[in-house]
Amino acid sequence: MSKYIIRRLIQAIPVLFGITIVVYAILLAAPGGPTARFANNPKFTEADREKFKKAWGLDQPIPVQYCRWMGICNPENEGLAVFIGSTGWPAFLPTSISGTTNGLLHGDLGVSIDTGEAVASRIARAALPTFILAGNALVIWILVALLIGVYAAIHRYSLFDQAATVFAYVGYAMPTFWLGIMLIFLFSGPGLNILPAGGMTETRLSPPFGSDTYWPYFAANPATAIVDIVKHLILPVFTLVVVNIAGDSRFIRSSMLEALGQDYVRTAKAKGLPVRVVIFKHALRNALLPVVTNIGLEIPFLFTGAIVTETIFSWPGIGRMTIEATRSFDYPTLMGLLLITSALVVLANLIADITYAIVDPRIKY
Amino acid sequence: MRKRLFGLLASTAIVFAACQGAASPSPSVSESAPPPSESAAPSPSAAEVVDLFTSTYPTRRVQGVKGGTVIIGDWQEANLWNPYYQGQVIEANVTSAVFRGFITTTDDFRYATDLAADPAPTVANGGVKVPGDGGDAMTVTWTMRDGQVWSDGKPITCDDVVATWKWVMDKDNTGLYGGTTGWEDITAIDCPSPTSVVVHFKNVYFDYLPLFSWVLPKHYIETIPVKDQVAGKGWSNADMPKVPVSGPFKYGSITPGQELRLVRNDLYKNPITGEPAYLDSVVFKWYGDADAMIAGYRAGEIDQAGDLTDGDLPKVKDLGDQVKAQPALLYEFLRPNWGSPTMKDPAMRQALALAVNKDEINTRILAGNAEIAWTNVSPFAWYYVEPTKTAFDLEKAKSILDAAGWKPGADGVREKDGVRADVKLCTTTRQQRQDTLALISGWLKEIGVASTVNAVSPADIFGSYNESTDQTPCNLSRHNFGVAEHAFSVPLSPQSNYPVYHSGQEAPKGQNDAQINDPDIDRVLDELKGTVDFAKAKELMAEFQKLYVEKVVEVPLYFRKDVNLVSTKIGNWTGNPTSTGYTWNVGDWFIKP
Repeated sequence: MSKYIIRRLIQAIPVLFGITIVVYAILLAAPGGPTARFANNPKFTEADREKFKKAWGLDQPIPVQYCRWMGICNPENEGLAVFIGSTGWPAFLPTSISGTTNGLLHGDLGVSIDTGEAVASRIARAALPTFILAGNALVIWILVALLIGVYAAIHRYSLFDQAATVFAYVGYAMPTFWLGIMLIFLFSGPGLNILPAGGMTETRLSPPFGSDTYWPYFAANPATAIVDIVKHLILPVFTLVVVNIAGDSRFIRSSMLEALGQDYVRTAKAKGLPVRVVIFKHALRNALLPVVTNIGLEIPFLFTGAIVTETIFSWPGIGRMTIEATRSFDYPTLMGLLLITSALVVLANLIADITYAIVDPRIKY
Repeated sequence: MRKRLFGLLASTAIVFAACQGAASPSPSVSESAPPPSESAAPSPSAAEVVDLFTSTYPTRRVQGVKGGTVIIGDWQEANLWNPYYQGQVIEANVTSAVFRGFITTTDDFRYATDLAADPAPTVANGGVKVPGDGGDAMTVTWTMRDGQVWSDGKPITCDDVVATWKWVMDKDNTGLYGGTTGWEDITAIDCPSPTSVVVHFKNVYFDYLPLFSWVLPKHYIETIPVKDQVAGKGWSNADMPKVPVSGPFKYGSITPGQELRLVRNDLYKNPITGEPAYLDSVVFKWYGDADAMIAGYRAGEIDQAGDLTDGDLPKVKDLGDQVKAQPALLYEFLRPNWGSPTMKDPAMRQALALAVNKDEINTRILAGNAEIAWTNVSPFAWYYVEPTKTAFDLEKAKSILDAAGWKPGADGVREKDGVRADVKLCTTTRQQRQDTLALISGWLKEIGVASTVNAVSPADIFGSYNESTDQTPCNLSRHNFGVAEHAFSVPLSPQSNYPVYHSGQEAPKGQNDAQINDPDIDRVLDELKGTVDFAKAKELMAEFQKLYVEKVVEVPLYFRKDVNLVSTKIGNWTGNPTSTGYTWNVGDWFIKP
């Protein structure tokens, strides 16, 4: 297994490399750019625009920009010397050897053109809120989908099964942005006013989440702080999980039904095993095989696919940052985010494969 | 898309505003009354003394009480803190609370001294000399108020002004939203005393008043090389609480994605009262979506919901007096391309102006929320004159075209000298604009002019000269349009008309994208460029506005509105449609007992 994991991790490197090339090319080929903010501002001349581009390296051809972003090229040099670091060694080598500090290969994701902040620290700051949102959503999503799917399969064609089917169709078809806004209208200001419309903490009561003053506040008022965050989590988590529960509950039901019709389940029943054992030990474990793969592939999109949900609910996470970076053509931030998304997909695939082997002992790597 | 209105130096800039919300049914809201001193537009006269400085605000402000916090919501996030790099409305609002300059712009469109002492320099009071001293084209002498200090206690002096100028003009500086216009005309700044500032210009520069809108702290900006500041060093979220500021508030904490906390700067002295701000703190809370922000306002999460548009009015009509809708400086208009085969004919432009029913556009598309525009000058500008209103008259339009030799062809579309009257109408993908052009296309058809509506991305239509090609669809700087519909922010400075309407200002040099080429207009703009005499400028602007209508430079459609939801508990909130923003008087805000 360990050999398999190492092999897969090594295989992931060229995959990620390829992804970065494609994404970078698409990003920079798209119309508009960071200078769009100066569009037709008569005081910002073409000369100013060119100066701005030069300062951010946007005046270079796309391959050169990519090369710098990767850390293969040294922005201080020109011509073929771009491949040489300040120490005379190739620029792509570690900083201690090449003297080069820019680029992914040297752990530098660049600086946000929009905010002037280091991309790595921007993303790191937004990661925890996203992890809290996605983590809670993940647990609720899998538990509820499992419960609904298994119960509906066991009680096939029952009222519950029919209701679950209706919920699945409606939930799957419901646009996230619409559901989010409707929930705000129902439960926040315009409606019942029992849940906050957005944010992660109540501004009048608490310091902002993650700020220097937040953790001392949290330590002094843990219960209040947790309740505050939970209140802010309810609507976005609900919005986020509805589609996934709807889809996966159907998937689990289908898989479970197939398993329940297998010979080994009939044998187990014939042996007089308790229903609980038949369902959970014999049927469910086998039914979970395709489900594990499916969920494994869906998890990265829970983190990155919270773009709409985080934006509507003003959740200060990676999804909202993606929207902001897209709006402002902030290439370094977008590349950093897309790299992490790609890595998550690759990692999730790997975890799904490993879990597959754990769930199904027949599978050996 | 976010509404980018352009904080820095936008008081003198004309800029595009591509995206604002659509309007729908007319709400019952409290419209902010036109500023009292601007309600009547006087006729210009060369002998008239133009007073730019007598705001009625000091008589309208009321005494407040100390303490409390105001939470302002916005659906755009401020994330640049150096005023000279900022380009968003919300960033300008933050800056107005923390930085000061020589003068500010009041809610009734007057200049008021801030760091500078009264009176502000003019030709009339001898503060401005043309020609200037010692061979200068112009010399401006400012006197700063005594006893003004940065938030760290260091005095604000002439040295800070010099440092700001040098910082702006540093060869490594880039990304300055307002560019270096005006700054590059300065040859030297002398400091005869810590509070005397003598600015030497190599050219006559009309906009010398708002040039020093923000004075930066020398003892901060000189600690970081400009090259590094451009690349993101300094002015960072972590730095800002330590950066010395001059406004009524200073940076408390910045938590990106969530909020910005400003706390009272106790060393600030209000120019009217000499006292610090009333409020303890002002918090900006960032929402990801305008609807969520409105919901947050209704839930009591915030005391003000900012940066809304006329399109949001129907959603908030039940909030009554809490809705503050003010005519914005943004006007929507049709821009005929004087270089296009059809619109180069003045008769065709006249016909276009007559074939646009502004009332019907307002009623059918904007639900009556808009304020019809007749010129590109805000009715509140100090040089505004009542324009001639071109009434909708299709018969007159037809007769003008007939007289000009545009004869109907076999398919009913007019032709002249082998040119078919077929107009390429261009705009962005915003539905409201497409609907407007569809209406106009119908009216044009009635007068025998064919047209096609082209809706393209903002990147295409507004792409700069170097970022577009001759094939970029509907691109303005490449003149790929017959008539374009978009929006401009009305300039407060007459000088801002120069790069847009002067024949020598076609892209990439300037922004005369409509290829306007008229000797009368050029003459007026040239004369404006060489004067700092406000009375003369007012007279010239009256002539410009007359020519603007007569020659159909543009067909203005309507002014948009700035909409804010403001809790009735906030005292002295006035709003301010200029780029100074609604926080221009935040030092006077207070929580009503």
